Amino acid sequence: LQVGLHVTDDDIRRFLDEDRDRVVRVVTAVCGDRQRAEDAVQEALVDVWAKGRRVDDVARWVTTAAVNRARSRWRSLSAERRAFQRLAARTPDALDEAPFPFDGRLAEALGALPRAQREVVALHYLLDLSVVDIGAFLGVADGTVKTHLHRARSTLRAALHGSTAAEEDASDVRS
Amino acid sequence: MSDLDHEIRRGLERLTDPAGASGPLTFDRVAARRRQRRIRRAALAALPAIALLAIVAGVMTRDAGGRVDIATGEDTDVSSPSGTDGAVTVQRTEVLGGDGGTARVVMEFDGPLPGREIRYSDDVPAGGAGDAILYTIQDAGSVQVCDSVHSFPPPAEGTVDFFIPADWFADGVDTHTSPLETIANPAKFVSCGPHDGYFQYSTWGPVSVDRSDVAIAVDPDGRRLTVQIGPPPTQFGDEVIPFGSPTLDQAGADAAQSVVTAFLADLRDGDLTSAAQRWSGYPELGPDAPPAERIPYIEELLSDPAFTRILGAGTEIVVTPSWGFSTAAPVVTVLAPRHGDDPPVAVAFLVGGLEQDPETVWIHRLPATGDGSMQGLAGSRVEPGQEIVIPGVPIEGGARAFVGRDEIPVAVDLENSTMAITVPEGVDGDIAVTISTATPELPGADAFAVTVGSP
Repeated sequence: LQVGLHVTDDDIRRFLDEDRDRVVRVVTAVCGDRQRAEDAVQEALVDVWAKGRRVDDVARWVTTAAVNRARSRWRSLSAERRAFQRLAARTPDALDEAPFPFDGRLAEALGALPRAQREVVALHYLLDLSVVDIGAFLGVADGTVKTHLHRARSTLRAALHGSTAAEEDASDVRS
Repeated sequence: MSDLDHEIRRGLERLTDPAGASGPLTFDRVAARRRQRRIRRAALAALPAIALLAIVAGVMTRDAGGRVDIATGEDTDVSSPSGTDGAVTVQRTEVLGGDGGTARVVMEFDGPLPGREIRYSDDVPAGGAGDAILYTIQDAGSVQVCDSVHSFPPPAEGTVDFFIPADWFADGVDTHTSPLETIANPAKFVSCGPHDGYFQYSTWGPVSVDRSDVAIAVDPDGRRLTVQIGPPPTQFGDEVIPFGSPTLDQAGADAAQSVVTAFLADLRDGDLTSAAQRWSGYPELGPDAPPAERIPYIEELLSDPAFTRILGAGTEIVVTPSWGFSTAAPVVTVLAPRHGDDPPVAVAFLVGGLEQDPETVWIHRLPATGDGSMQGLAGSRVEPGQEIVIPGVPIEGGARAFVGRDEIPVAVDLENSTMAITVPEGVDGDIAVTISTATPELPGADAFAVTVGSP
């Protein structure tokens, strides 16, 4: 946020026309709840606009902010308190236990993926980001992205076709 | 791209297809929200034209000299206020946490403040600089911090904000880099400005925001400003209490040490299944992930030569509280002392689950390894009084540092994304330094070992 231009009304219109649906899809795939995804994107958009933030890429900024919002329903103090209450029940991540309401084999498999894998899958397939870009986006190492993507593809392949991890190994992951 | 990739992509697009979903976001809805904020600003100023000018002025000053306040994620202007005779600089800011939120803020200056008058303001001041320190209370649902509006979830009811005229500060002063000491887990302390003629200091998280709970005063010599929220500080004491309520009790510390000891014993025995069951899987895996899915992460730990040092004999274990608000998860630090040419090693485990049932205690965060850890600092020889600079800063809130069991001050440099500690006097030999940092979720924890004194 240190660089870039203040977002203008035209930037917002362009985002709504060209990028908004893709971003909502990504967030939906991450959190499994389209309404929550729409809310998260809208809140992020309001944030970037109403606060006069300076950003280089509105779509990228809103995607990051919306994924973060969808990722964590807790913030700050109440987040910590709730999290500690959850520890004893062995539910360390509220999102991981959230219902994933879509039907079908792919949806079930996607909903069963750990959150980190789900995020990588959504960014890779719906935003067409490379491993390097996803790493930069999520702030993790490229190797971590590859691992998450590899495991997620194995799981999804098995869900769709019942194939093995060895077959998955033969597939190429673009980096 | 393989057929599988195409299939996954098509499937995801179908799953997330907006058809049939709620109505699309329209530009008007966004614009309406922005208008609401403008209206609110106008109401605050009781003069819409002035309020709009203030917004424009804020944007312009950020363009001129903006940088990011990491605590809020906002741009904050650091351009110099106009200097005046007798202007001061901030030498130190101390923020003390209490049961229910921030309890006290103390600011110390290098000279007497130009004014001593303190006034309550019904709203965030707008419309230009004044000649007095102002303070106000904001509802947690809408906290205005210079140009930004934040919200703060329950149980907090609001914030206490105080405002010091910008022209009281010496020309060129950057109040954001003055030393900030956080004690006993204050929720959050944010500064920004100059904005509308003031620097704003926002104290987040008091459970009570009744005006009568706030006492603000300047010492007779004018060099010290104290903002007291709620009961007087004698209830909390000035000393850091690592194992006292509300941070961490001894039973919790003992339980945390036990689970880590058992985890390490499992690793020594090669029983990775048992070890995996002592780890929550956070943050990589879901809570129901079977041990088979957790074991690879344990194996990754075991592939780190630094980590395996703590499986040897002669290790020391200490338990310290992490950064927290009313609760603090214990951090269990294991120190393997220097052995021949091998430097000392320390790693940290964040442990959770103490509040409801001690029987369900488990490791919440495994130690960081490799480049993601502080091990780059390990093995150094240092002297008492020497400063150690540590990469990284807390995402929200603050940081705590311990040498062994003793808490030491940690200075957070948001501008350079580093933290700094000073090796205390009176320590010698191999020591473990444990750092915990606040995050929006659970605290982060890491440790490293250094040797104090000559070989």
